Amino acid sequence: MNEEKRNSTDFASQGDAPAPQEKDVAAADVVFPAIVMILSVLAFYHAYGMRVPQTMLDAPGLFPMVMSSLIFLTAVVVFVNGIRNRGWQKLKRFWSQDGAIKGNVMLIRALVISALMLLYVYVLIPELPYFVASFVFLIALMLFLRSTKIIYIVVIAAVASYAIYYLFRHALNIPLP
Amino acid sequence: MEALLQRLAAEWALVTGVAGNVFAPQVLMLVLLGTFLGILVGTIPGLTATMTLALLVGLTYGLGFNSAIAMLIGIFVGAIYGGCIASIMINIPGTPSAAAAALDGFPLAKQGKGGLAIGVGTLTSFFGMLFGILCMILITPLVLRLALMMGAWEFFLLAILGITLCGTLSSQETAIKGWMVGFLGLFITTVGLDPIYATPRFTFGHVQLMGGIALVPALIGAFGISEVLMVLKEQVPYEITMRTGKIIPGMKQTLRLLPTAIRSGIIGVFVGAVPGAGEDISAWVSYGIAKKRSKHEEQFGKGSYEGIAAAETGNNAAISGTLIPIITLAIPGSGASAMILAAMIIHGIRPGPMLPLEHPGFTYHLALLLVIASVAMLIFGLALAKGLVYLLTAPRQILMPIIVVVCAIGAYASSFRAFDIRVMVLIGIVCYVLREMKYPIAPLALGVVLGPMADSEFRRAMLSSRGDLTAVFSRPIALVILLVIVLTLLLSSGVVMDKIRAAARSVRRKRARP
Repeated sequence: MNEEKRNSTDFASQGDAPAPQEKDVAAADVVFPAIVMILSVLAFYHAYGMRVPQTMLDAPGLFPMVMSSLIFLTAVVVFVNGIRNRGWQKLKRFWSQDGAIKGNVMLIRALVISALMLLYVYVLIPELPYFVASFVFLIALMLFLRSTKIIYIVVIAAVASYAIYYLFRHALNIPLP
Repeated sequence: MEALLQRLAAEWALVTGVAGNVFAPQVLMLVLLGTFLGILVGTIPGLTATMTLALLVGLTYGLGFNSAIAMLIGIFVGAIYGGCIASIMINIPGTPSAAAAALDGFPLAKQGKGGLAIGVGTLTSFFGMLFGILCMILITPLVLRLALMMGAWEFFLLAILGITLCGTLSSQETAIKGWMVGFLGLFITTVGLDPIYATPRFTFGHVQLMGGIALVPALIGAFGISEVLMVLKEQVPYEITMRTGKIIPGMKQTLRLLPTAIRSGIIGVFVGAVPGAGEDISAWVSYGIAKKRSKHEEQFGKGSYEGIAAAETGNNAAISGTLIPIITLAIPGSGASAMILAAMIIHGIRPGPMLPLEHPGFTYHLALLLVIASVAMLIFGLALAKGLVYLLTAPRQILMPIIVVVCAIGAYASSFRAFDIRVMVLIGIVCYVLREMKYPIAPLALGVVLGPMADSEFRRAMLSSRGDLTAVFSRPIALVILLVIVLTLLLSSGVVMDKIRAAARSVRRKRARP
């Protein structure tokens, strides 16, 4: 058994085995499953407390209890794998690095785009007519992405917003938010 | 003999019965439009078949089932095919299922033979479609007969099997991550009022949550918004070879590819029918086997037409393959086909063993739509190939923001709740984060689709067996499904696979010794 283990390690170290990709996300494999474990315990507890109309066998809380248990079990395995892949050390190293987030251009881009989307659905759509909200959102996102020249961005945003509004509201008769 | 003729006459009556619906001018136009749009979408990298289908499930809600399914089938067929154009010309798959075609297509494009590679891809895609449709017509009744013998336990276990298989096959690294998000998908569907006793579950007093997490916004978020974030977070420049050369291959060349196409068609249908495997894996398996069986193995990866034929026949044959478990068991074979299932569910069509009684000739209905879409795909593909290459220059930084706006309408259109748009964006962002952490999204979507069925069947099964879990062992089909689940779990877990690999290595070492 030990010999087999040693051989398999040698095999991997020779580069014949596929690269161990999980180490790239090992830090996340510690944090995320830990959060999921806590949430699944809370979900189980909440489901357990649900009203039982007749029998537990068809109680509303039964299926969520089974699912939260399965989620908990799988999260434990991912968490243990994360620890084995030195996820904890990687996490500590990540936080101790200066500008770990600042230097990650892709992360910043994703964060800003997500923030713009949230702004669109939580602020612009409830407060403004759909056509105007979409126009503002398109300009903001395309400006951030530097899609093209500003004048073109304004024209594209106006044409796209109106075309979408006209196509769905009038041509396809679909109510808009 | 007479019985056979009677059976054939009855089947023909079913075909003619549904033909009226399929060949109605509006339906016909929508299949053609859907196929054309699908090819456009498939050609542009970043716009996937699943994303577009998720978006259009909501938008076609008002069209009625016949028209909606016609358009969705067209888009499904067109997008899976269209992916090969980007794969061949710029080495970036237009859709994930076209990735295998890039291995040989791009080297050919660099040699100025991109047009011929697209031509071979188009013809073999068409062949794969027809072969898949034929298999779907032949296999579906057999599976339906089996499905009639199934009860609550079997359907619940099938849902779990779908999640485990999908989780295993779609995970980039460990299968456990796929299972985890799959169970998460099943769990999400329990939010809202319980369908049996109307007990609020995980609503925390919010009125909006009483209606639950709607299927369409969840799917648009999972595939649409997360894809937009994945594409826009980085700017990948690519070089386009606009020189295509001739498109249509010669008769001799086409006939030489026939054995590869037939083999890949069979692989495509059967791999496609496995829940979670879908078009991507079908293409890779077909490509891998074609390479091993080829007399010119050395040409694979350097510009082999056989390689393109295998990949493209495989992924297109898989389209019909993925529809078999949908029609018979209400379990989708891939993320894209999960959208077809979602469309059926929201239009009140309940797939499964009772489908032939409730909607006679439904399989023929789908088959006819697929045939029309395939013919349209062949014509559009060959006629517009050169023009489609120009589409690859479309800037994604302009397209993607517009897609977000359309996604919002798609999420809203299914039940006219502004709340659904917020849910869509939140699920999209969560799914993006999951994808960054190498969690597959397909099992989550499958869980969201199968959740309500799994919940009700599990409770029905528990009630009918009075809580006795050993009841599964007295049901042969349930037992077989359970064994497959256990086998999947064991084979996918590292412990068993490590032992198998170690055993294989020791056998190889022994053989190598003189």
